[in-house]
Amino acid sequence: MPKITCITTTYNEGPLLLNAVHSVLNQSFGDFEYIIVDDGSAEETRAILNSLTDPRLKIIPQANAGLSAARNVGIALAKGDYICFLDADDLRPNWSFASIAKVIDATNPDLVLCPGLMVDLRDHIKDFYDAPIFAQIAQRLPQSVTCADHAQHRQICALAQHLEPQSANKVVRRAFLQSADLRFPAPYFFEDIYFHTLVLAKADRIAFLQTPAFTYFRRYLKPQITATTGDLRFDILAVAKLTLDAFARLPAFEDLDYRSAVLTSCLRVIEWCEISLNHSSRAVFRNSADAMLSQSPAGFRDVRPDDLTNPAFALPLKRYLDTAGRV
Amino acid sequence: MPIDHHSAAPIPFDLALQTPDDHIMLRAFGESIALLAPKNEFLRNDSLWRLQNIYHPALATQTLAQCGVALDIGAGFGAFAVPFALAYPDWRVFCFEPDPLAFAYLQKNIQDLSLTQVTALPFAIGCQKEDAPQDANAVRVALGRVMAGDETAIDRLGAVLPIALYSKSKINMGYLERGHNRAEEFDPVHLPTLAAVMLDCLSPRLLKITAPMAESGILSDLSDAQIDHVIGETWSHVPSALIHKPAKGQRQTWLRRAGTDQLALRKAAYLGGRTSTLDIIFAPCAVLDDDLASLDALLSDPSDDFKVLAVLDPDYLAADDLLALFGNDSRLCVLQTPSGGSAPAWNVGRKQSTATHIAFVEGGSLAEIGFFSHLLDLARYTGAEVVQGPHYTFDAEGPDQVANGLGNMLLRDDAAVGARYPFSDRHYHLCATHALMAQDAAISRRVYRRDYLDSRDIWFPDTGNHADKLIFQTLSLHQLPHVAELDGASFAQRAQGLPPQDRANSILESFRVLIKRAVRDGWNDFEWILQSFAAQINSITPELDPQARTRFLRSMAQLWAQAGQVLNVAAFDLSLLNLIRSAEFLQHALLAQDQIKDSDILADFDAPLA
Repeated sequence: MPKITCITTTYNEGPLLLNAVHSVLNQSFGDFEYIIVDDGSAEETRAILNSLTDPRLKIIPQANAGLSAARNVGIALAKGDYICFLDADDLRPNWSFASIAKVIDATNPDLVLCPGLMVDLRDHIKDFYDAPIFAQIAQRLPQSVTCADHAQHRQICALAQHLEPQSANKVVRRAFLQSADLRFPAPYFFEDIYFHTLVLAKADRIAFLQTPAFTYFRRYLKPQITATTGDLRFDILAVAKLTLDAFARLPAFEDLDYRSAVLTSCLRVIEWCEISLNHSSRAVFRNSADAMLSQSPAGFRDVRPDDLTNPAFALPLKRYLDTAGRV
Repeated sequence: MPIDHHSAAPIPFDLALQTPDDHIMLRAFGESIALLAPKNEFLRNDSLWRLQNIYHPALATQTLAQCGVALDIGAGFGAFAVPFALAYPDWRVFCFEPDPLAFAYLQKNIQDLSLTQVTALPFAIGCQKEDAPQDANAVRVALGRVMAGDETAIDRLGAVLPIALYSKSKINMGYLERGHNRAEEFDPVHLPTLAAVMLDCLSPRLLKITAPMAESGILSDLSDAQIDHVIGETWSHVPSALIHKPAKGQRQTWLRRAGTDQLALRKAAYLGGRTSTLDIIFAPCAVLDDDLASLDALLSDPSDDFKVLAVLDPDYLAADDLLALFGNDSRLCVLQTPSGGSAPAWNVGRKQSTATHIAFVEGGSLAEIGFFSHLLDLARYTGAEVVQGPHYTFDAEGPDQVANGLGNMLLRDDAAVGARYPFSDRHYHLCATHALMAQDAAISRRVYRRDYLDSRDIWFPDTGNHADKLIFQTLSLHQLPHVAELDGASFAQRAQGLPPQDRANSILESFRVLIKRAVRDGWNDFEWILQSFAAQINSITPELDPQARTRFLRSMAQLWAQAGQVLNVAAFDLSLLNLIRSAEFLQHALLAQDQIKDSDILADFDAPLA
């Protein structure tokens, strides 16, 4: 069994996909398998996939079913001890798997969280958005690993909840995913907050990598799902509901800091989706969001007082409390 | 010239007796290592800064092959080469470091870490005529032996290399530049120098360069080498064509300009299937002399980094005739299509364009020689979506004015903000886009990234009047904070001289189209757009006759009110209405707001034109 399974899903990325593929196949660490789930791409991308012959690569074609479903297919077929993800238009630095493997060997975690770099629209190279949160975690956790029985564990998880919820920053033990029965919430987009929240809340042992292990590209070349102004953004409402409901069933829900972190991280994604929508749909979105949030588990209404004065959360949180208070 | 001091320099005595202070910790490429380094704060900090801010992030964005040859020019004590060799163990690394002290540290680090794939050579790399070895074959043979692992060949190589004069900084340890710098700071030193052109013998795929003032020469000499990756820092301006012109290797590049975080010559691995050049789409004004003068001005630029796609109505001018007039210049292409004005011509030309960058020029305008090449250069150094040059409008005497160098008399753009930054032998500054949007549409003095226009679905709407340019200008600028403007070359455009009624129609039409786009694309920031329209309304209102003024103000006010209702954003509040000086507009706006306040108006905005 390989140490790592890397999963990429692709849908019409065309030649751009080769950046991701080459970056994985040229890793300095060799004990991995690479699964690409082709989520119903057209001819150009299929031809590129057909030209790839590396024995570590498995290409799984399927009819278009969406990102979450495609990732779940990859998870089901994975044989590696650990599973990580890479979007088809991003890449992994050459040292990524080697650094991850070192941390796995040293700490035996359920979950490794990795910082990343970002190439912006002008090709400037920067730290990824959540670098300040990784820095805070490193300061509080010099040993870079936390366990469920550590006194600070939930505080660290609450902080980590505010990391970017995207999938490339996670390496998850396959056995843990199976025992926790964790999957992406098919058939929805904006799926990451669900997976991020639950994998973080259920993992007993979490390690934090010190070196960037993925490179995220913002591009003009291809419209990204995260840039859509259309109705796909309504998916976040279903995903947020699933996330809040599922988290409320976990023991971690008892912790005020952690519970508030989950709520505010969901509210921020909802707010971001709202202000990214076309104006014709916004009123409907707002009404739907209010309706969904009013049905969220009551415990979420008990919020951390500090969050109400935090400029990053204050506005959506006050709106949430107004909505919830009306019920 | 015989030499005796620069072949594999002996390791200084103090390196044999190391203390913890002799080491610095490096963390890069997934490796954490302690390296021996000279006890000099500047050198250590400088090397670490470059590793953390240039080499490490650059390699995180580039995928290297499993094996290859890397050249480290200006290797210092090994801050790049050593962690690179550890992270990429199947790569062969050749380090060039002419400074004897730094070289000694480099050698010791290589030995201590048993990096057998790394070879250190105590030579500078040169690119001047006098650097050519007398016996190129002997150099080639010696390099071949070095490559084969024969370390003794390094001495033999040194013995056949010419010696060149350099200036070594007494303040910034490790800084070395070619020639005799007479400033107090520098000491002259003579060093063996290997001609850059000979490096091709090593078949490099990656070039890391720290060679102050020699960067362009080295890259020029290596233009035929199959180099896939170029990273480093530059102290002189490297013409971007040295990286972007077609070459054997991919030349993914991150070359940061020293002293600024604004500029880095860059080239991504994937350019969306486009060629890294500029296509200038030329729409004629149908006055033959003016069109020919415009094309002549464009094609007088000797660069081969651009093409001109002239979109001509066959009834106006035959393609063969035009090509013959310009001596069948291979940079001129003619697309024949029935005339429909500038906007359709620009859209037709753009669809045929295969370049990464694009410009839209009208007949009758005059670009100073090199105008667009310089803009392309700036675009490649900034990655900016839009760059521009200064422009002015002229009347019938315009061409003479240009020929007489009126460009030198240009004042800075009103939209300029902040400092001027050096760029090549010129300067550039940033212009605030909100100020540019309030000015007349000046499309043709700009170079645009094609991927940016495509991804934002920015085309010329065919309104059949001046509105197409206003709309394009607003769409292409409103989401950008700044546009970089290059000083020193200018672009002359014929004054439009539109009648006030036509201008009013254009303003109204562009407002209608833009609000529609705002609804569709979910814009959130309207303040600058509204301010721009307020300025235009204020400017045109006094020029209209009373009847036309009333029609115009009423239509604008209705649109304003509808937009406020649909978009539901604070920017449409009455406070912004106060920007518009006309009391009549305010009356119309209040009335319109009152009429629609309870309705679920949708974003149609197809109000009749004034």
